[in-house]
Order: sequence, then C-alpha cells, then structure tokens
Amino acid sequence: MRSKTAKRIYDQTPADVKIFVRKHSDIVVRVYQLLREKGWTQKDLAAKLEKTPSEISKWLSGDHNFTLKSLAKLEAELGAEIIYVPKSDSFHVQRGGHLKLVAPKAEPVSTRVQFQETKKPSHPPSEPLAA
Amino acid sequence: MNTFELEIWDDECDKVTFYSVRWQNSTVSETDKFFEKLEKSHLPEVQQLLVLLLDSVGTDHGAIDVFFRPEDNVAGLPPKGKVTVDEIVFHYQKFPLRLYALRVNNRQDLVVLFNGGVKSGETNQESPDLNMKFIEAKAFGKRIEEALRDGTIIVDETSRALKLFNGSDEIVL
Repeated sequence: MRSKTAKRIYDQTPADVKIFVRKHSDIVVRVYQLLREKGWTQKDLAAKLEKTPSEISKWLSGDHNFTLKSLAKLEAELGAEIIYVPKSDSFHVQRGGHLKLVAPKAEPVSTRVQFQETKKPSHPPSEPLAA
Repeated sequence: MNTFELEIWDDECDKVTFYSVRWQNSTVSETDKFFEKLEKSHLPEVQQLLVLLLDSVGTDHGAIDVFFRPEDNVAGLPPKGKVTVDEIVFHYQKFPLRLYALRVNNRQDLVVLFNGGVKSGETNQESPDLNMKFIEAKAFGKRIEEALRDGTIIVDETSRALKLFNGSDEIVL
C-alpha cells in the first residue's frame, strides 16, 4: 500500500531525477561509511586532503556538488572505490549500437565450447579424410 | 491536542515501513498535505524528496543517520520525556524543503512522517510556517513515544508494523 499522493507524484517523476537522487545518495552514504570504517572525522579527512573542515563539510552536506576530481581525491585518500563504472568488456554491442551488460567484469565467464551436432551426410564424402 | 490516527503511508519498500499521522477530522494525512501543498511551488524538489524517501531510504539504505538530522533539543525536559524529531536530509545544494520525521525507537525500518515546509529564513525557527509544523511534529512525536513507552502501541517484528496493544491496525492516539 502506498499513499495515492506519493504514488502519483513518484510515477510522474522523470527517470533522470530518480537516477540522480539515488546515485547522489549512494555516494554520500558510501563516503560516510568509509569514514566510519577508518574511524575518521570530517576534520581528519580535511587535514588529509589539505582542505578546510568547512570545505569538506560543504562536500558532505551537499552545498558543493561532487565533481569527478573531488571524488577521485576522496577515493585516493580513503583508499576505496566510491563509484564504479563497468569496463567495456562487460558490454556487448547489440544491433543498433545499444550496449547490453553481459557480465560484470569480476564474475567468471564460462569458456566451455559446446559443439552442435550436425546431421550425418546422406552420402559418404568423396575423398577419405586424412588420418 | 486532538486525536489523530497513525496510518501506513507506504509499506511497499524493502527496508522501511513509513507511517503518517492524520487528524481524525481530516481525510488527508499530514505527509500528503505536505506534498500536495508544495508540489505546486516546488515540484522538482518535491520529486527529489519523494525519490529520496522511497528509493534511497525505503529501498536502498534504510532509515540510517545520514538521512536524518536531529531537529529537536527540548532543553529542560528530563531525558525520559525528550522527543527526537528528525528532519529528512537530502544532501544537495541548500535543499529548501524540510520534512519532519520520527524513527520509531530509533530503528532503521519504521519511520513516522509528519508535515514540514520550506526553509525561507536563515534558520528553521525564522521560517514561520516551518516552525509551526516543527512544533506540531514534536507534539505528534511526543504522543507516539509515550504510547510506545506505556505499551499502547507495540512494534510487530514479523510484519514490520505498528499495532495497537490488542493487535489492531487502527491506531488512534
């Protein structure tokens, strides 16, 4: 059961807004999680990044948008991935140029080759096969 | 304070059941009033807040501290009577909307949503409409926490829901 008002507004929300809010939240949660794992405060992180505590506070409170550079700095200092981009060999180009994710890179992929049974020829080959 | 009903606002998310409060003389919950009131003037923000609630909190992460900022500091009251009403936080560029909430027994899977408003002043207290809604949220929160303490309402762990002491879903406080 969902509130009718919530359902109506949610259903009319553009897909990119849904993706943005979800990913933004994931990043913020991930940064806080890494800080907790390391036992660091925002002040510790600021010192490591040679930033002022208020700058870090702005990053984490959302007053300052994350950039790829700021995320890279955070990943480098926190020593862990914050965002993950699937590598190209995880994709298979489909007809029409669309990309389809076939398997995450880290997952093993079966290399077993399966041969299809072919029908026996109705007449023997004209030349004997070489041994 | 008049009587109000504690009713499910959303129980379709994987990690959280959301409740809201509805005055007995009203047909609309306080949380729906909040969204309906603000969708006219702040539609993009209303959509963002709703996605934050239903997807990020309700489905992905649960009601963890990152998304909740304690808003209450009722100085002078003994700790037993203290109610911690949070505001839902979207960590994004001076987000103007404030929605008040209570995490039931500080759990990550049961949240009561109240009303809220737009932060128009420097502080919440300087935003007249918002401050009224905050005071109201505190009153709702206090009544709910008292009912949890004295056993009038209980948490049903199996269904991740709140029930009246006799097992009923109709909770009037």
